[in-house]
Amino acid sequence: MKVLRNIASQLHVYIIWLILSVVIWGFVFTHVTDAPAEKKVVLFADVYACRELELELELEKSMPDGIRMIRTHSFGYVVFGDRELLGADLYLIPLSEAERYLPSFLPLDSAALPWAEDELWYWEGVPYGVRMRPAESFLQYEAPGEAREDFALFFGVNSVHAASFRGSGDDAALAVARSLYGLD
Amino acid sequence: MGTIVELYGAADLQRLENRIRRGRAAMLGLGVSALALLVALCCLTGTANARRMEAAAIAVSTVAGWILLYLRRFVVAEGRTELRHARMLGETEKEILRGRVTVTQERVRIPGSIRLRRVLVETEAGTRRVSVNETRAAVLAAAGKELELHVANGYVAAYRAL
Repeated sequence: MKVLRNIASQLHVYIIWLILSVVIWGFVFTHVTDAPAEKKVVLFADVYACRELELELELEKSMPDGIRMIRTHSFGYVVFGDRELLGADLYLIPLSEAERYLPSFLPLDSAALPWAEDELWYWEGVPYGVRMRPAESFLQYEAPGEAREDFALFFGVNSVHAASFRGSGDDAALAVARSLYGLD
Repeated sequence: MGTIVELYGAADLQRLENRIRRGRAAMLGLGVSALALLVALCCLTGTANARRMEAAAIAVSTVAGWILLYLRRFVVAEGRTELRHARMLGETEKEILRGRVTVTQERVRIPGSIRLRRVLVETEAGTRRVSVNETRAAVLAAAGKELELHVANGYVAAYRAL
């Protein structure tokens, strides 16, 4: 009884500590579950809905060498800051939006790609994306009732994992793109 | 006349010192254990279990924090305050008040200090208001009505039945 009375007299302190705990550990785990850009591959998917965790786990089954984690975000994630978006390695974008974001994408070298030329998306004769709608069991591309759109996968202009197209870094983004391509 | 009964004897001071020491040891043990557990949770975190681990870390830090706050406030800090009060009673020169003593229900809490109960002493010179540590109020109230009080800085330190 005395213990309960003591607790009640300091209830505000216990509530403040609870709130602090949630905020502090949210911050700590954001960092614990993150890795530097050199150790992770980030995919942004401009789709209606994304089962991010399941897709990450599936892609991490064939993790490229030197990579610690694969992160998948929907575009809604940008509300937490655009650093992750601007530094992303892969973008899954509807073709109707591709031209708008073109400066963010790397021009590709079709010889380095494992896909046929007719599977690529070109802008002014230069290949930029790979036409695909992969992982439909993880990604819901359109809202129910919306018309079906064509999508393409692009490589980020700031990616450090696109050595075949930038000449430096590694090719982990390409490896993840291949894994993604193989998902139903 | 009866014998003088001190509200805080040597055994009481020792009990308070032990309470503070045990409280500090419990805080240290709990703090180190919680910290080790939180570090382990962080180290064992992967993509698949991140949300569960975060929830576990929040639960561990919240509960451990609550217990630590409780121990610090109600065991260590209160023990220290009471010990300081008890030492002050022992070291200060006492004023003797004789008369009819009533331990009232009026409670006083000085921030950062002990909880007190007001005591009225009807002496030949008039009524005096002094205070007694709330934890000792029942002892004083049971001692009878006609008492000789030994008062230090307005606080009852000892009594003797008249």
